Amino acid sequence: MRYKRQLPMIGDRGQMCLRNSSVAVVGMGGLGCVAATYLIAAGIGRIFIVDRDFVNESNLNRQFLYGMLDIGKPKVDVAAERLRELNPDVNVIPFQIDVDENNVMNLIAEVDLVVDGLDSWKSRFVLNDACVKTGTPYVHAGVSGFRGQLTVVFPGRGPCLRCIFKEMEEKSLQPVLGPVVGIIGSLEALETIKLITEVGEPLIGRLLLFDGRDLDFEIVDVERDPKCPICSSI
Amino acid sequence: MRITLKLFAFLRDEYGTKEVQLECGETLESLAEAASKILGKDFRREIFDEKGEVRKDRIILINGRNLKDIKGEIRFKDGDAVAVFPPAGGG
Repeated sequence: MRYKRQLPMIGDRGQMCLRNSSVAVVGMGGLGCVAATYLIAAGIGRIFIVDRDFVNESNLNRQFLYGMLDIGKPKVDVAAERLRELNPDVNVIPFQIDVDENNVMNLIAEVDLVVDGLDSWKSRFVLNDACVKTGTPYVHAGVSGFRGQLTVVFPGRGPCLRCIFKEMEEKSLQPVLGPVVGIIGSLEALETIKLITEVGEPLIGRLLLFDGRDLDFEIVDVERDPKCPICSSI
Repeated sequence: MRITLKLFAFLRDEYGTKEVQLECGETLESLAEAASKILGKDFRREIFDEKGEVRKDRIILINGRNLKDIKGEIRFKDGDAVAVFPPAGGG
């Protein structure tokens, strides 16, 4: 009954694929809250939610899994409790860590796909490199102000994050509006469901650029770098 | 040769257009000069920093390839498409 309204699109087989899949949402900020919520509601079998941070009042304009009473608590603990209430059939596993070169392979070994909820390019590249090495699809997104971007890194079938973005400078505390992470985080969940159920055409080799000020969605083609130090050999 | 230059995000507000057709030579310098004639001389600053290096906080795609891949070997061809946008890094 829970999945009745989505079965016409993905079928029993698709629902079984979701049930049998394991996903990591890395970063439980604005994007991560939205993506994890829709993945759990859709019936993903197992989800690792990863974030080192504690709930802060300035998170509450967009990170709807947390409330005033949660301030100071680890994000992953609060999120796990809310997400289990939403769908007790899903195995929600919280990890309060900062993903880095030393722990990323252990995390990726457990999952079929990784969803980007990060706000750091350094951590994104760590994930990208590990995903490419293990052949794990990686749904990337980023937001800033009214803007967002989205692409799917599918090792061997399109460019990786390093092909598209190269070396990025970190910017401290980007401004973010709740509805923008709502849109882009939902699209991350959508791409994840499409990849797992093999329904539709995932955003591989294409980069979506969204601008909320004029509701502009535009997709640009992105190509592999034949000399990419990470993905050119696969 | 004719190049299509596409702008995204706040660059569209800044320069009042999403896309311009440029007549320019084979080099990035030539593209920046041709774009500046149409969009204003400040546009050069969207591509190059004060040292004349390609800006680190702009992504410039030439037919989908990051310009930084091919910086030393850029030779624009007629019909090439160039996209310029600031990446969004927040989560």
